[in-house]
Amino acid sequence: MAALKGLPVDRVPVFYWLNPHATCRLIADYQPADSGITDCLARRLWRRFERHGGPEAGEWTRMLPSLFEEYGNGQYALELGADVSIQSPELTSPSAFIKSIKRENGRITLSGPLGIKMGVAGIYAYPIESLVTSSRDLHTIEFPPITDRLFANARKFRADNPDICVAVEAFALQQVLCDYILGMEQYMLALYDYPEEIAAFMQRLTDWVAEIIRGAARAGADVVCLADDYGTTERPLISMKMWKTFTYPHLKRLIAVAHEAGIPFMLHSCGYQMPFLEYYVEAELDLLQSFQPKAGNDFEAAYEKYGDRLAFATGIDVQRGESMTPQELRDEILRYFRIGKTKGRYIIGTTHMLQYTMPTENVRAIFDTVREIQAGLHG
Amino acid sequence: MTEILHDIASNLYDGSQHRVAALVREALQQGVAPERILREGLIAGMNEVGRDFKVGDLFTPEVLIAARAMHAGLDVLRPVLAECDVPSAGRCVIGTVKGDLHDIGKNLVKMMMEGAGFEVIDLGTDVQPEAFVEAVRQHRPDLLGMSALLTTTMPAICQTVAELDEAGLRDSVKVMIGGAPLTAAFAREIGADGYAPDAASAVELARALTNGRSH
Repeated sequence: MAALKGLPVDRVPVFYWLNPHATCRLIADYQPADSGITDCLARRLWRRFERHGGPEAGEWTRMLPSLFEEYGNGQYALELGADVSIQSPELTSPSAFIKSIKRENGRITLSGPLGIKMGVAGIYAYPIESLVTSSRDLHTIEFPPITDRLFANARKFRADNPDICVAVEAFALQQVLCDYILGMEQYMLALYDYPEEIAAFMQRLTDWVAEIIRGAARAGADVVCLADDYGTTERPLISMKMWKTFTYPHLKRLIAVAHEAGIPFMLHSCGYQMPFLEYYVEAELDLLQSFQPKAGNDFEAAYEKYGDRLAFATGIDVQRGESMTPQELRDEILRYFRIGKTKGRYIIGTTHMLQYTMPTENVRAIFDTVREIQAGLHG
Repeated sequence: MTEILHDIASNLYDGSQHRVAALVREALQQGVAPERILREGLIAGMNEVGRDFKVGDLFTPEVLIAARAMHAGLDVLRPVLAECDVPSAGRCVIGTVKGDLHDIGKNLVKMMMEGAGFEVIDLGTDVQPEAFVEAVRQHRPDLLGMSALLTTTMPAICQTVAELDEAGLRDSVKVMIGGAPLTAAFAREIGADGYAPDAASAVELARALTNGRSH
């Protein structure tokens, strides 16, 4: 929490974001889980996934490691040395979706956020049926009520880990339309074809997400986290003019809601972020996570200009890191750390989910380098 | 005559699909050669979209509405073009690799390539290596385009290139790849012929790889 304000810290905080398959693999090959039962199950799932050819395996074998998403980013991340843990309310929690798994016409289906029907491709679940047939029907989508019961897991995790920074997920904004309801292409066309419908939906969605944020605060969250991808490689997904019209006012409002509830706001946003930074600062965003170098983000320039007003969680390049040597990856983590420590608003963080495809020696390089930094060996 | 072609290009740039279709009909009625409407109207308009997308003046939504307008014009023009036997800039099989359902990048490349006069056969998403190989065998394309957004699906690109090789088809087709985690170095490493960081660059790469060939 001190790092978000640039205050002195006894050690640089760390945020690990793990893909559930990577969690299973880390447990099997790198560091056992503290809980014997969990450890045994994760190992079995990973070995089965590995033995059946990973992404070539059957749907169940590919899908079951997803059970470890919350554990990986909660308890296991702490066991790896993280200082931040992500908790999901039942509305967006993978384990809640997994409870709804069934077999239909020979394929696995499950019910995702807002009750969206999802199927499996590769190691992920994707929407296979839209809630609406046209953007004109967005007004028919209903949001479930927000009750404190939805935050029971987060509340328990908070109570069990009083010294850890607990970040509670508050779903998304633009991404809800892109990923779950319309699909990216239909969303972008709707910005031209049905702008009033998009604006009205975003308003209702923001009201609902504001309730999630308030619920997260009541559950004891230290930080609220919104995942909304605004960039692609070296450019915003939509023009800045459109983003400022359709998304930014809602993001700004949600940040204000979090601050009114007394908690900082963390934004995960993939892709190119450079043109958004001035607006993040204007909206008083506290922490930006990911900031992928591969997308064209220049951490040194961004931190120089905004590092006294905005904290960054970045530096462990999980995208390019898979093809780096362990030494190159280590050097890159240290380079980010040296930039980050100049102003203090810095959390060492993965630039996206660490995947199971990261070479073992690079996994070691990541955790060893971070431990060295936290032990003060690099200043 | 040039004015109507300019209007087609300009309305296509603005994404006015109904206006583009009407102008193409009007141009045909005026006796403008279908090939000129295609090259100097529709393709010229998409070229301008591609240029402005590449320099960051346009974004994905603008490309999508322009591509939609191009298709509206093409729908009018296609029956007439078929009679004239107008050559395409090349043939391309395209798809998002196995395990990956992300299609916006692949769709943009498809639209831009169609806008540049290429014939594109879209295999969709989550395409198995053997489906790529079969499509290459069946359609004999000049180009095979593969897209991946996830680091975990990158190996499927290598696998597809290897299976093309095994099937004895690798030398018959130029392989181009793109997607957020990919790089030119990765393309070289797996033996692809090129990497494009964005849809506009993909068209330039396709033109360079086909070297002006036409079908």
